[in-house]
Amino acid sequence: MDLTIRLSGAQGEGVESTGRTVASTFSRMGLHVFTFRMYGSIIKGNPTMFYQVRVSDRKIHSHGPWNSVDVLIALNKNAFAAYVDMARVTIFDSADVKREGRGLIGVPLTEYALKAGNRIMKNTVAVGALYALLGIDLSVLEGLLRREFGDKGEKIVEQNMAAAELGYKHVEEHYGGLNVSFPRDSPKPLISGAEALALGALFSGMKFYAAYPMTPASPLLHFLAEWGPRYGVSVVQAEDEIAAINMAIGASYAGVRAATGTSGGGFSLMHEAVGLAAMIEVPVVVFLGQRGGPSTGLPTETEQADLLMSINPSQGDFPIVVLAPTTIEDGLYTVARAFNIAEKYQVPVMVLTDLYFNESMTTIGEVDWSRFKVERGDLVTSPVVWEEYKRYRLTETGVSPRTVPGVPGGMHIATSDEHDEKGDVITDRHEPKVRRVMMEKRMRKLDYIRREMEPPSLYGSPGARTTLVVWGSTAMPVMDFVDTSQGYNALIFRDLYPLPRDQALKALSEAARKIAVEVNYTGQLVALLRRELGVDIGERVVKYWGEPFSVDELGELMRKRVEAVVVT
Amino acid sequence: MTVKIEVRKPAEYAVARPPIWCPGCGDYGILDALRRALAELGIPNERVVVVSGIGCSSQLPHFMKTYGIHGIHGRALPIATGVKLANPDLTVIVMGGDGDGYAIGTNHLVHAARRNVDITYIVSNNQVYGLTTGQMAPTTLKGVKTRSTPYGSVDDPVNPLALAIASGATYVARGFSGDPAHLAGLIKGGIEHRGFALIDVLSPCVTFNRVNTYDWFKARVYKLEESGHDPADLMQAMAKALEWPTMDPYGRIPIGVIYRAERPTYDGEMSRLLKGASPAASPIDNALSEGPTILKSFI
Repeated sequence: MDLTIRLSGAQGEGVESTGRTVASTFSRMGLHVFTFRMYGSIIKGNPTMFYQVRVSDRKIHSHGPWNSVDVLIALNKNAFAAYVDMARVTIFDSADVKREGRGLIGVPLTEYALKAGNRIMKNTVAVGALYALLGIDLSVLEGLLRREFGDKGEKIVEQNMAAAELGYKHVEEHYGGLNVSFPRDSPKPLISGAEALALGALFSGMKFYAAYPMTPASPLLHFLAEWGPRYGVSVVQAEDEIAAINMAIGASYAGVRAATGTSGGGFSLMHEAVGLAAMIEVPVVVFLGQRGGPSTGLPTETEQADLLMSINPSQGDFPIVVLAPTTIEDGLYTVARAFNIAEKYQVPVMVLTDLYFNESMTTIGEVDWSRFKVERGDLVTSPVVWEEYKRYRLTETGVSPRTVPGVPGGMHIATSDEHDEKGDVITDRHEPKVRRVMMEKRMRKLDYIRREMEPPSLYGSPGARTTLVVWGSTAMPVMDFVDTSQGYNALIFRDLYPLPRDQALKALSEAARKIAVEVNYTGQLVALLRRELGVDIGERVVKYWGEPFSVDELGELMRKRVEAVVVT
Repeated sequence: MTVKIEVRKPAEYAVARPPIWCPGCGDYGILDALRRALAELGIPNERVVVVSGIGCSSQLPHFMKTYGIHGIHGRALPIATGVKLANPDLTVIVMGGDGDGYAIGTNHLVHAARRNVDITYIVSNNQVYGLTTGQMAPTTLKGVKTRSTPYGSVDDPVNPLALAIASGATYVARGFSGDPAHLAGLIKGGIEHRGFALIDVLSPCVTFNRVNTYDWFKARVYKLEESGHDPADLMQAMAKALEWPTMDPYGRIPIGVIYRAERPTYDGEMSRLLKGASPAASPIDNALSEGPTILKSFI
């Protein structure tokens, strides 16, 4: 069983919250769910935004097909016109569109909503109709409505239930249901990518988060602002992104795990401070949720075009780490690693996701709590002898014992200027020897971090004719494609910088035909692999028009590509 | 009952390394005053964090035996805000120049002031860019020639004290580095004050500013505490803040506490949200230990 339901309507009319209700229906039934929304940078308007819910009885990783859906719920006539041809079955307001035919289920949505008490409830009528179509008992919905509207009073819940019943009965009487059955399992948590990152941060002991609102990173701020204070987390909405990252660096210097989050534009403003963190060797985690660029670009649409920027922000050479979680579940654990690496090596760590990752929701399985082991590295919390203490002591690994304010004897000045082992500025004179050893000390850390980096993971069976080379969230649709196709596997990069060279080279050399699949124009992973490994992935499939890849589209693209090569 | 107060000496906050400022620089007076203020308050060295930006005066943390961050240009206030919120028990001092605070970092001054975060911000105001060798500063008086204004500046100067009051700072003062004892009192008052304190210090640059010299200031400064000023009166304070340079750039210059008010601090409000917990004192595994319960709310 694998169903895709697309809800479409105008922005500001509750399409998303209705979509979430549908998604929660399935997650509460213990099914596997994945959701995706396509919307515009407008608060009210855009009549054909959509929210897609995919449900399956087996593990799924993406939103499913792009060009066909099983059920369309069209909440207005524009939505009907836009997507009716790709839907097996369409539920629509019979007052909007006068059409009959196979798969067309006209329901007087507005009329029923008014009958139940308020025209705003026409979405609920449609959900009731969907329940009848899929043969799901309305009692599941009641619990969800109570969660959504409970604080608005029992009357609202009752009115919504009445609205749903009207839609349900209408379909039951006039159309009947689809031939589909849902196996039941225990309810599963349903979380968005942004929530996975934020939860991962809470579980990792992050105690400070500062950010400036920006799509698609804002959901982290919203979530942490609500949940953080319950666990001693200070959450600040800063005056700009420059302030946000500098606050995080200050908090980290003071001894707590700290992070900031933004998108490409905000991260552009943060660059100088990333260099500061690397120079003063203060750990900091940056959540970078990419969206379409350049400049304001596509504010509400996805892209993966900030990979190279995340590896090379700010002036000068310095150690930095870039991790791009490949699934929403993986986001939880990647964040735990990000905080550990940041503290163990006293470096900035980027957690690189995108709008598709942050805003999609999925059901997750059992969480492996053992993967949240906190490793704080060489953190000194007991008194030291000031005359002997050297904050930037030269060590084999390049990592020096770090005191934090409050530790007697550990006083030092962390300076953005080049400095000596004690932390004293050396820039009032020419000190090439000190400069050399300090630069080498910082850069040496990369060699040790590299040993902790995980090689790309192979998804699918080894020895497939074609290997799709991907990174970050593109893994999600590609994994689904590999699951449903013959002759393909995927090499998935999460740990992007520093690359574990030997292992990555080995993995790439074992692949027969390699095709890079990325959501950007230039093929930034291809460029990185060429730069770091000297490997050229000759074939690329890219898109840069604000959509993630979809399973059906990948099938089309690969078929064309394979045929084309056969012809030549 | 007698309370034993530990008497500390300013030298206890000093490091062996001498400052690298030009001989006669106003910043020596600020350094001296800051050490005096800390000694009088007897704050343990390890509980003090001095944060600065970039510029001559931002070198100051390097001459203090305390914790500190010599950060990037204009960003000392957000760094300090992060330090204070993470561990509100620390005494956080911010040091910077007029370029750092009133040009590139003005945005942060406004927001640190409105939040009323409990930090003490000392600005060494020498009305010129020193470290970059003598360009116009945001506080340079109109008409003054600098290397970037060879025909005389056509910009009017900012009024940082009026800006700070309007933005919500709760302790606003002006000092003169030619009078370190008086300045030490202002800094001490700023540290003791619960809330955002701005102390703008007239600090002559003896190398690049030949207009606003020690003598120039000595002829103009007068002490507010000797002139019947009431710093609790907002409108009086605003009038005093506007006196120089806005009303008359070549007139008399009030020094002392211009404005003082009590208002909840940002760190205090944050602590209230955190139900008394502080990030630094909060167990690192408290959310993890409730992980399974937290996840249940996503069902």
